Amino acid sequence: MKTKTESKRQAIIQAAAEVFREVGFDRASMSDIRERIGGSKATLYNYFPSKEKLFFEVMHHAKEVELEAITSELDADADDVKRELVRFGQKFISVLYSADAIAVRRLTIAESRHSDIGKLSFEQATVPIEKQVAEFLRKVMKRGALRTADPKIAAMHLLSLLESELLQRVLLGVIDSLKPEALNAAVRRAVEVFLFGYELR
Amino acid sequence: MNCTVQYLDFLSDVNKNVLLGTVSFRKPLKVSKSESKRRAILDNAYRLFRAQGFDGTSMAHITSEVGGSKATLYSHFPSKEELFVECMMAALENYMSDTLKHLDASRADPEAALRSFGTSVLNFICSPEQVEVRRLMIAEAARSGTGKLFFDKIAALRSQVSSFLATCMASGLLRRDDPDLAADHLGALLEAEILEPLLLHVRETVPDEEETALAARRAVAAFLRAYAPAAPPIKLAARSNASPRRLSPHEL
Repeated sequence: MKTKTESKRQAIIQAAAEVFREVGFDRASMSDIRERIGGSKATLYNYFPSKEKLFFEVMHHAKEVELEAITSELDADADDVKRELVRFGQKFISVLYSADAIAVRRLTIAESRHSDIGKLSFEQATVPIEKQVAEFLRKVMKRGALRTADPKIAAMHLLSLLESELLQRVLLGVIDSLKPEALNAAVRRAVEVFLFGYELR
Repeated sequence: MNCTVQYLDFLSDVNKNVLLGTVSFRKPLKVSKSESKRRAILDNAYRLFRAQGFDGTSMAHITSEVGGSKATLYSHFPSKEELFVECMMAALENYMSDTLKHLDASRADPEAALRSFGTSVLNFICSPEQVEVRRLMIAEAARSGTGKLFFDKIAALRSQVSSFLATCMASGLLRRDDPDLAADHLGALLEAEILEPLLLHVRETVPDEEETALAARRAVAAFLRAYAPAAPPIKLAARSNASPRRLSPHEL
């Protein structure tokens, strides 16, 4: 077996990203991807043992980076906590509920029993995002803008509420395209309920 | 929902089996021939779908496991999709209809009622078998066109929670708002701490009663604060376009 190189790996990822964007996950095949980069199918499989793994690498990583960037913009010193959370929530949800991200998420759940894909996703996306949100909430609680509670739990409550009207409907494919206004309104309702639950009273 | 009605009375068995990690559709009491056939079909279909997935399981294979003719199979379940959804949801429906009986708005302490409801639901949905069912449901929903069938069943269960919340709103225990929205929020809070690591197979150990009770307690506390009568109703989005209070199908 030939040694793997990073440049070859990147070339595969690049080609795969193109193919997935053009035809979607279901219709993309490893043969399509191989044709674009040349070389043998064995070489391709040597780098990525399955279409799922490749898809995850290509699509998941980009989303992960984007979601973390959005989360890192949360400003604990913002005067209007509600406005800050709505702004964050709407950006976050619009990325998380893009067609690509939903496809990745469905696949991640489906494949998690047979591979470490779920573990990767949890450790590389869920945990760091929860941590960042918790850190934001901890600071906001500390300055007295929210009641004191376990910020980690509060972060999980917030993130779960943001998806409360969407997750099941979207994962089950009951709705597949979401209008931005509908998403934004759902986020606003979630943030309001979160704040009622965690505000000082 | 005829499935729910049929299985109401073997609920205690379901509970027991959930704890043991196995759920069976068999009922110890005397049942009609047609009903026992239906159960045999559900039992075998459930086992085969879980082992081989939706695509890997054929109606012919299910027939050969159950015995009898394909016509009989189709007389009970008009399509593979419907059979799939029925057998995947049966245990959850049974469990929920039992648990929902205890969710009684006339109880002196609705907080305690919600807490024990929440703990009970979490115990059930965190069982390895139910986590696997949910995973399979999501995996197959888009491919086999069963998503809508699954969602209708979930919505029917949720509406029972909504009516409890509506009663609480009517009696002033909770502020008035859309009870379906409130049910979505309650569900999200209950699952917030616990479900994802199980669903993504990050965590192998099943949460114990203490853990689910704690998660339910925190979720219900946040929910009750959020829906306390003193809190103002959720403001609608820009009044000008009078957006509805929650997502409706035509909005999406």
